Amino acid sequence: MSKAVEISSLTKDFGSVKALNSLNLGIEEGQVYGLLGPNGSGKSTLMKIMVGLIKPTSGSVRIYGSDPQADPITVRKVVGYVPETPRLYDFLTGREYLDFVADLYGVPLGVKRERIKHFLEAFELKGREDEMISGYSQGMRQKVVIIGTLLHKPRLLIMDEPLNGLDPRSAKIVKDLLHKLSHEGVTTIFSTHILEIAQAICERVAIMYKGALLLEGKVEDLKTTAGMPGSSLEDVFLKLTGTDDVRAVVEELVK
Amino acid sequence: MRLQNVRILASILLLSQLRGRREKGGRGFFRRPRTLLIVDAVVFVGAFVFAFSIMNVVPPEDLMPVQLMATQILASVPMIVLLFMVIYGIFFVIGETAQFSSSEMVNYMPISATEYVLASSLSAAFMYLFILTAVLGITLALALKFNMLAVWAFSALLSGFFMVVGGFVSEIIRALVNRVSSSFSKRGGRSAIISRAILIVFVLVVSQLFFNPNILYSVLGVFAPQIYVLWFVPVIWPSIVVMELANGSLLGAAIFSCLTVAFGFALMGLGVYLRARYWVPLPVTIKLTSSKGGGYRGRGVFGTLGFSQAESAIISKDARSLFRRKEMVRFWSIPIIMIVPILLTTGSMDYYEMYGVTGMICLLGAGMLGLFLSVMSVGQEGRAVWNLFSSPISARSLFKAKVALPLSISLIMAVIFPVVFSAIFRFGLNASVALLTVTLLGTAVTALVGCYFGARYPDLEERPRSSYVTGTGMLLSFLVAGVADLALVSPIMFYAFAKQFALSIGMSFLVTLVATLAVGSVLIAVLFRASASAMSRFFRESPI
Repeated sequence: MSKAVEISSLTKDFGSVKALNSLNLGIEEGQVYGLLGPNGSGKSTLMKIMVGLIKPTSGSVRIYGSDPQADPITVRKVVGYVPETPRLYDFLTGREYLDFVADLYGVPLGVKRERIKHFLEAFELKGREDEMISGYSQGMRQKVVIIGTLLHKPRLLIMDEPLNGLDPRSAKIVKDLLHKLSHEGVTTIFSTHILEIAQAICERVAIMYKGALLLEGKVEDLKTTAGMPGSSLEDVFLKLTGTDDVRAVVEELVK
Repeated sequence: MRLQNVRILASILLLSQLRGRREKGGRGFFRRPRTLLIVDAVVFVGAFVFAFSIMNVVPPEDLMPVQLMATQILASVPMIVLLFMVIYGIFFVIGETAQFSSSEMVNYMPISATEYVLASSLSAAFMYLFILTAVLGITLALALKFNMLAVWAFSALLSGFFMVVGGFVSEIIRALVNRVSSSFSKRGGRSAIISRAILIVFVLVVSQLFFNPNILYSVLGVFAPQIYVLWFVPVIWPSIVVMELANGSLLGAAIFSCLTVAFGFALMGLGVYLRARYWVPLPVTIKLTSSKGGGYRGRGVFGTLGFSQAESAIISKDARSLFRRKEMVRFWSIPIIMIVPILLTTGSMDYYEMYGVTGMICLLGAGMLGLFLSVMSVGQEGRAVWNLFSSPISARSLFKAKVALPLSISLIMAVIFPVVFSAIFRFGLNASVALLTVTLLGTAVTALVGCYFGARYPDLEERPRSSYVTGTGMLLSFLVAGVADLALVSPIMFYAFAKQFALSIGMSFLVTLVATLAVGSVLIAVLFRASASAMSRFFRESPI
């Protein structure tokens, strides 16, 4: 199977802060890939570099063989990106926003009309699409962003905490959709703090900590590698990231 | 009511006003409340020294009309202060970005409506105290000159009180607008958006007229002698107090002082009541009906003009932003606000003065419009700019889209203004052609200047009253646009002011026009390249 994403020796410094530290990663086409890590571990920075939003300090990134820095348009044509805290244009209606996004990606009129209608129904936004986004709840906004990401049929989905604010039904739709898209060859990279979700839908996961890759592989393999075959992914994660002292912290808090 | 809460909240609201409107955070010298006190004192002393020196230079016979009106002027100060605060309140409502209204801490903190209204009014009064100290500095010079120090002291006291009362009125306006706007927008859709834009422009024009010295002086001249006729109007009561005191009637002054204080408390009560009853913390839901095409954009006007699908989408989105966001109205209405007072004060101008003023109006109306629309075209994206950065568009496409809307709107105005004014004032053919040429070129130049500085110094931070371009960017854009326009009009000005000399060196009207076209073309070419390059630099890496 060919690689959708190839990352080698990727480093990103923000002043004295090392957000990514000589990262190497390869993600195969058609995989649902989970990026796990505590806050500030570099997940969002990595995703932004993959989309070409920010420049790496050193190292290289290839998305389907193209460099997002040198050839951002080619990369963005095949990528759908959901940022961690997506700001929308509040003065547009949901439908106008999706129409705008579809136009940015050059989706033909007939196709965009059909796809927007289809997704609005699936995400239960039908009847609310002509309201201005300023009146939408966080979950509704998140649904609109996710729909916008899917309109141009991307080959690679880069989703930073995509299930934030979604109701259980919509979250289930997104999870099932990712599975289905995976069978059609669409690669998904998504970050989450909810480890059960990662365990349930990701074929492979990477655990990041302080800009470096601690461990990468299938969930069951990670447990074995960490020497915790019977444990949950949460236990493995907490042990690897050195944050397994939560019990002491909680006891201190309730004093 | 807990006074401690009022004090803390007032200082937080003051800090938010001081720091919220600047491009960078921090606690610099000018972002401290104490600095405001120094500024107030400096303004007071400066205004006093300035007015006093002028009064000592002006011959006594020329000061006679001022002396005759001295009492009325002192009596008018509290009312002027109140009106200023009311206008401030309206501006606050207009400028406030909708998304921030729901994040005010008062919506979820244990703060009563009374505490909030009092704190908000006090902070607003303190923020704009320099206006009062400027007026008091000038009127103190007046009072010293005409021996009216006691009257001045009372006028100052009442003005200070009315400054806070004005804050109560602002709160009443905010609560009412909030309520009316939310109900109206829910039902009105597009018509609500249009009505809101028209209302904002109207309010801004009226506010601008209020601060025009010529207009203000004539209104005062008519109104001031009739203060007693309007004794039943509460806003007039502090003025009557000052007049009574000047006339030596202490009983009258005491009665109207009590009434004034009672009026102030009544307004505070009303402000508290409305705040508690009508405050709408959540943004309203505005529903817009779909167009015939099912609500989806086809090629559109710009598509038929050769713009790509993505470019047309950005232009269309920016056009919607201009008219739907209330905080954007203040930008495109600026030319209207500037033009109306000039038009109202043209009075008895001769042909040449009228031509000069018309040229200025055309350049302000079209050129400034282009400058404002383009200088904020990038910054108005705010944190939603990721939508552009993550999409497959080139920097060149973004530049084309961002320059097309300001240019097309302002160039349309650049044709309408000269043609209409030439017809109204019956300018000759040469004058009309020159006016049209300069306005068209000047508008293109200023729009491109705006585009350059908008891309070079965008302010993408979202705060209660965003300015979309940094202070440096705005200042530089004005400066460069002014210099560029001066260079552009210089051949025609040379021809107009030294016609005989110009003709003697072979500079006929036609040559002058060609020279203007040449200067304009060079400026446009240089600025076009510079703007495209600035946009390209901006689009290299997402700033968010």
